[in-house]
Amino acid sequence: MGSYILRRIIQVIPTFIGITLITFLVLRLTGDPAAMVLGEMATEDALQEYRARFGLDAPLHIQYLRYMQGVVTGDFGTSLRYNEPVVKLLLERLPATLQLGGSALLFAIALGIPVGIFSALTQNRSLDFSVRALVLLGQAIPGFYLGILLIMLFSVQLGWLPTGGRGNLSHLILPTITLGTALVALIVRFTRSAILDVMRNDYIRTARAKGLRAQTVLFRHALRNAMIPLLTIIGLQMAVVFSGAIVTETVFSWPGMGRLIIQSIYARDFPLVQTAVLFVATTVILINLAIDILYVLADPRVRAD
Amino acid sequence: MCWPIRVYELTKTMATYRASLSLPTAAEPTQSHTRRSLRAFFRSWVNWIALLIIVIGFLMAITPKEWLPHDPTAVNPALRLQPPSLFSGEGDFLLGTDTLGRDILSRSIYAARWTYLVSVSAVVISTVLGTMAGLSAGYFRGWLDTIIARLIDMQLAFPIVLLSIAVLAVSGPSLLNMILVLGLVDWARYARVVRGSALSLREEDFVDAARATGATSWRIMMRHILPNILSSIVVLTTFSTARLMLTESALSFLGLGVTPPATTWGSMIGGGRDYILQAWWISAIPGTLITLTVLAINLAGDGLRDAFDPRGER
Repeated sequence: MGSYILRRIIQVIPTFIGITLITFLVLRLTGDPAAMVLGEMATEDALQEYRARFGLDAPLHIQYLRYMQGVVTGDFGTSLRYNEPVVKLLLERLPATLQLGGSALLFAIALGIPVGIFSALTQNRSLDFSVRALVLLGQAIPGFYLGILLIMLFSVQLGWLPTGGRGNLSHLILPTITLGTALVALIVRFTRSAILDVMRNDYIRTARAKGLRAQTVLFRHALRNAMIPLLTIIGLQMAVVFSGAIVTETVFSWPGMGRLIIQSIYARDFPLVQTAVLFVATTVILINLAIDILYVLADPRVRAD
Repeated sequence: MCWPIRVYELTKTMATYRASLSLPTAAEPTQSHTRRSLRAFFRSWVNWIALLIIVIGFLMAITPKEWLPHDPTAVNPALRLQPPSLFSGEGDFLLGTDTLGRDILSRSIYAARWTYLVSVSAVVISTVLGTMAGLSAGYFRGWLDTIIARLIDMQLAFPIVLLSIAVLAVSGPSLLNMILVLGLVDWARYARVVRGSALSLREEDFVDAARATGATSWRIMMRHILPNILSSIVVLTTFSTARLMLTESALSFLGLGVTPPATTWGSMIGGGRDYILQAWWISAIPGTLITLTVLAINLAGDGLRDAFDPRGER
């Protein structure tokens, strides 16, 4: 098991290097940062001076190596807009994004798993059908549009909740629902089909035949085995949650990383955008690594592979 | 008596012979399976409704600009923010006008073509890329597989919206850039599924047979492995179309969408966002359209998956 975990950790290294390469190349090859920052009116001299100052006149591989040196030593450069270290700016905004993402995840799990179980147990009855219809709707509605609708209903019409900003718990409710809905839909769908699959197994029939109560069979036998793959599914959704957070933060003026990234893009603050992309992608990889390790700990069968 | 063995040998030789003639040994069950699956698909009324909505969307997309009740791009400030006559009974704009006095009904129909164009083109790009990558990784294995598998991991770890935002911010928002970005970020989903199937299919007897008759790797991948994965790819493309439609609308909402005259439902919602209190119809109508369309495409995807692979992932 130890060797499996070690191997899995080593696998992360090439993935991480690849991600630095992609973030580096995507932002370098699709445009000239000097021209972007200085604008179309800049003279050739000014452009040259800018390139020289930020080392943009060096060959691409040298630039990449310098960039990697910065990454390894934790120096991600200075924001062009705020004139402060990029890492500091991102870390300042991180708690707000983690709060939003975490509460959306909690909301999705707390609502999704029970509803999924319920839907599986009432399979093909009218309640099951309504749940499935709602799930389909939840997957189809664009997150930002849902956010706008929620603001319209709960903030404008009813006046119950604030339209945006970060503050007490009431500020968190609408953004959480907006970001969490697609995830709820996914978890309900997954839980429902996992329970239905597990329930067909022989050991469930054996447990039933032994005379165990339906509840005991469900929670002790079915749910445990059904929930392990759910971890992986949630892990794969982390990238989607971050993407959704960018949109949700924009709709609700939530002062997190997503909003910072969008503002930086309009301000052409590329060091910040580049670092933010790297930051988020690395977080997603680490979360998935953690889940893989948890997986091995939770399910001995995986270790055999 | 030794004839049964001869018959067995004969059958085997026949199979090899058929494979060498490239008679559809492997594809044969697939074809009747396809027909049976499609029949199963059309048995469900839900799938019919989904298909109906998709067809209506396509009809909207191919409606010539001249047939629309108003010019979808004509700006007329005097007619701005007219409420829908459908509800108020006044004016000649059935679904109202936007901030520049453009007819929402005409624009919604006009936006269908761009919405479909963007997501369908992007899906075609990612399907071709992902299928090729997955097929070669699964078939050739070795170092190629290692590289492609790592690339898939990397791609799936990238928040798609964030990556697209970064690229679109630098390259500038335009129709072509949007298609390319969406097409290039979604290949990994196909590659993962295709690679997995190719890895197991390459061990099958019919692949051995084809190889024994001297078929090239390309031919084996295209004629013997691909037909067996095709139904999973078709199912994936439906879900991808829906997901990319949502991604496109999110990017448009963030101001990185297609540029005029191109208009998508997503950019219409984004355009009406600041006026939602005075004029809900600007956002609500394209919002409803995109929700309905994505819903229908997902339903059709579910239907196809159930029909093709009743025991598959749900």
